[in-house]
Amino acid sequence: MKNTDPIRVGLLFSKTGVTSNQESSQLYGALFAIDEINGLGGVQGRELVPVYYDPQSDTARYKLALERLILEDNINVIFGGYTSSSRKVMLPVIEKYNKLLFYPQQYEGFEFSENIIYTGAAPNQNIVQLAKFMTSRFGARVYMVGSRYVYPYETNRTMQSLISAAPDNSIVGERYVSMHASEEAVDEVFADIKKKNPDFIFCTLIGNTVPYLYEAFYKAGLDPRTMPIASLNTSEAEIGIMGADVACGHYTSSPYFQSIDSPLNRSTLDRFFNSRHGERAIPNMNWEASYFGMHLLAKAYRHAGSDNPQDIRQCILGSDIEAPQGRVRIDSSNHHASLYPRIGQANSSGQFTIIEDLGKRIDPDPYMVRHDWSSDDELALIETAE
Amino acid sequence: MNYPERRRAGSITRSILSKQPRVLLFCPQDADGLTLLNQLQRIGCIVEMHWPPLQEVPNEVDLIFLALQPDEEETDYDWLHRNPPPIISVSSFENPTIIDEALRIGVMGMLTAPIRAAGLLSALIMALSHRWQHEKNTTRITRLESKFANFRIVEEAKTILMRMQKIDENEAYELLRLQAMTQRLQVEDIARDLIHADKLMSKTLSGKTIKTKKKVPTEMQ
Repeated sequence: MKNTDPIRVGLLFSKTGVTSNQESSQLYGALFAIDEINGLGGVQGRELVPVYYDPQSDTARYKLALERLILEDNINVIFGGYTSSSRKVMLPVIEKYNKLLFYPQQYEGFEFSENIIYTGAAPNQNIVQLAKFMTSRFGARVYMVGSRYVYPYETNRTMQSLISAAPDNSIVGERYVSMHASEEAVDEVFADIKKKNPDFIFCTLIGNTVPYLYEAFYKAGLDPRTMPIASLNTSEAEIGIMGADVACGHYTSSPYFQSIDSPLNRSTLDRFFNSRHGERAIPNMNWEASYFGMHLLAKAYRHAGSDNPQDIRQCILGSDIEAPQGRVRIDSSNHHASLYPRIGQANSSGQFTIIEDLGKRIDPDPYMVRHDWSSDDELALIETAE
Repeated sequence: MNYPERRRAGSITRSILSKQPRVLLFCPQDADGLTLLNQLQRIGCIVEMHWPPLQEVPNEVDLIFLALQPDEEETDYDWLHRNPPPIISVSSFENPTIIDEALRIGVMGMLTAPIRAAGLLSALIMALSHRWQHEKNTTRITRLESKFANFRIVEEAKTILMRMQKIDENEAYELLRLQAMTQRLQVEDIARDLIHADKLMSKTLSGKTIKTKKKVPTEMQ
């Protein structure tokens, strides 16, 4: 290794396909951070160079592109993945070659890999807060609508367990549609939601189908004050597509919103909007998870004194950094991030009004082992599942 | 297609994890052993690591991970004979010998090195839930066997009553039931007493015949 060699970082985020809007936020969050790092002289004089492939929102292509980055381009560290399906196919590959993957997206939890750093929220940092907030304000009769894959399935099971603590809880409906579903397919589900009249709608739709649900709600003339939509992934990027009027009044639980009122967040956003990437993506939770992840990586390279991915990983574990959401830290035992749970309500300007903010950093608990499931009757659960 | 009903039944995995299984890790503290230890703690298990294995397994243990050593002659520990909790074996290779060895000691799952975090949760849930299912089946079989044995006893008692009292099957059963009620016993207990009494009676009555019969062979000699 020469001290002036560039550091090449692989990027796998889709510019095309059904989740391209969301993945663009991740991509340009990473590229913006790379520009910032290089603008300040790189990592001890070494330039960060992105090596990019477009997986086209196609799970199989993530695996192929990751193998290409590792085997042909000799890349050690990769940022990539939005859907859990994409992460699940990359996990065995990244472990097989003992490389390092940054996954900048909240997800359903119940996973750990020695070779992955998870910078988005774990379930104890978003859904726990959301379930408590929604059930105490609106009630616990929930309609769950999601995309047909692993993230919504698992997340809905967690939501089911969480609402079981509330009186009169019930799942009045549960429907899954393809990520490629048409607007009509979502409208049809919405007709059922309207009929069942839940206390709130829990939306785990992903990508292009997200706006369809909010638009159906808006067209039906319903009032978010009586039957709001709650989500863990509907962000400023989705609102940018559906429009502020359509999203207004609905809730999202996330550690990051553009509206976080801190000098660092405001200055970071200003720099981004004035950068060459400013027009290309809408900053949101994924943008931020990608952005601070890249800065964490640069910090690790400065301390590792080696390009070996194992040495880099050791320097990332337990390290912390000032991120737009606050000072974040990577937990050395489970590789997830300590983050700041917040609940935002979409407002008329297409942003989120933060209505609940613990002001406290919560350590990640991907397997929910510290959660008190006191209301669950576990044996009854096993009996009914026979 | 939607699968809400199947999925809505509740998650066995979450339910098992929420109970924080108590795990004994009988493995050397090498890299694989430490990977196991760390991941078990990550998923919320209460873990103790020992090598060589403890002599006694405490009652509250839910699951044991046991290293099967390739060069050992035969795996044998006292606790293996005392209805131990489910066991998952950990070995550095797989071949018919070690698989047979694992079967012999009754393991519920096998892990082969190199150990990674992925796969451990499924092995643990499978072992615990299969053991639970197995115990439930064993209880059911025991219950059925005793039910079947009782059924045969009552049948035999009814036949005796029908023969002695010249009554039909329903009347015989009614007689047994009434006796059971008056004596505050189970029908099976009354039936057992009756069969016993009948045997005594027939022995006594046929005493002479048996003796004469026994004489026959002596005379033949």
